Amino acid sequence: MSGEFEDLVRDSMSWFAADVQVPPQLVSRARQRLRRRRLAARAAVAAATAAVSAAAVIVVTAGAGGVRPGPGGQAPTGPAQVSAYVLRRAEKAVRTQRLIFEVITPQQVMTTQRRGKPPLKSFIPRELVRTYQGWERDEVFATYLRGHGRPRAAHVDTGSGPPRWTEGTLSPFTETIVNYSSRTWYRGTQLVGRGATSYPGTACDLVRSMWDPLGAGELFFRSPSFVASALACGGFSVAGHVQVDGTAAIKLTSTPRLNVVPITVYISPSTYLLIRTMIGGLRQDYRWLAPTRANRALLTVPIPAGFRRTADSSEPQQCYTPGSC
Amino acid sequence: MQDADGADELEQLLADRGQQLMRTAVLLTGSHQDGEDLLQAGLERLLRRARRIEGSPEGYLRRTMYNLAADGWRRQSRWRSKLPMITASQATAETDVTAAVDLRDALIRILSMLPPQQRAVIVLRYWEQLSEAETASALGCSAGTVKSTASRGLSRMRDLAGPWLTAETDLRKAT
Repeated sequence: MSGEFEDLVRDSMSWFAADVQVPPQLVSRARQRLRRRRLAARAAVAAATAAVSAAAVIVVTAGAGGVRPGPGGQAPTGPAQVSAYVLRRAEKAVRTQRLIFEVITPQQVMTTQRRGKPPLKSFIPRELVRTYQGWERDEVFATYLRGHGRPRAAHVDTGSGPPRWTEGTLSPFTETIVNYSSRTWYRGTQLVGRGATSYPGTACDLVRSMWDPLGAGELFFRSPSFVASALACGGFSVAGHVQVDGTAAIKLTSTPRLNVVPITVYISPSTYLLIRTMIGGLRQDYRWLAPTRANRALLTVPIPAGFRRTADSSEPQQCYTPGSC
Repeated sequence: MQDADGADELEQLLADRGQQLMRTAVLLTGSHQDGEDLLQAGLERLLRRARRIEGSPEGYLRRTMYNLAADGWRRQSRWRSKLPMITASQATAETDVTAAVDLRDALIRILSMLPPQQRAVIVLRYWEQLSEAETASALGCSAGTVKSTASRGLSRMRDLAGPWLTAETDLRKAT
């Protein structure tokens, strides 16, 4: 009877799936959705940073027995007072000064250790992302083409207003893509989803329940509520004061409780702004620029003379291995 | 996947193996629309990690779909909402010449009512015809878990399919 029933189940599944067809454009739609998710994640960066710094300060205070006073101010005495004091400073630094946030991904070879298999090498091209209010400029450099160092492509995504953080909200973006290889440019409007602001349970619960923890690192790490929650649930711990390229920094590392690809965060002990992250071996550096006229100009992409306008909004091909394009 | 973001390779993969992948996705989710969404979600993850994947993208895609389905991807009480449907169908089940079709239809609806992990195990074991060890490897659990989950899932399906099984048995006897 058991074998018969299994045959019935198998037969039913064959019957049900018999006339299933693959819908057209599935890969294109997946690419489009991925791009929107990336934009949404990046849009959350600036707001996330205040939470990163503030939450980190609390952990530093608790774990290291106190923090150094910021420039131009006397640190209060009690741990709770210190936390509140520095938290205010960090938030003020990000929110009132309205700094331009720059993420620099250096060209690098990322090695991923795999159990029972040889390490996997990924060739990461140099990438520069600048975010300021509703603007984002994403510049990807060619990795293995002759003339390395020239940008291969640049995007500018211009929001029509201040970012909104409601989950599920779609905002219209004007997107400009300059392709330096094909000497073409595109400009059009698309709707982009914004980053979520809250998640069920703690960040530790969320990451544990996810199939793809690296995805959590990539997409959710920059979300304010995720990072704050990750700290609160013990997902990060303070590893001490270190030097990053000659600059003093507080080092935070993810704990096994987070159960995610190892994440290391370096923040400034004076401003509590992000300096560097290492996510699963991928290094990213951060700079904070005053929104001067010259720096705001870095958020735009001039269309070079002679470039042809195209209706093709697809991103230029990137080269991750020598000779692949 | 060594080229760019791997989109061309994925287009080729879908041309060659898309139908089988889509069938699996439909069975894992219980509907064509959700199956399409599941396959697309798998492709999106594949594109996101294209530069880190070595070897067969199909293997990665399958594993992604299995795990998304087993993790209750888009579960949102969807299967619970099917309860009234199955109850209504049970009440009207009759012995007639369409009993065989009814039984298949009922089994598919019952399959979609199972918890996500049970459903994934049933699809992998009896549709993909993977061994217990292969299913365990794909879902990241032990072979013992696969065995017990499959047993519980089949048992649950058999219980829910009682009226249709009786109807088909009667039909066989009559013919």
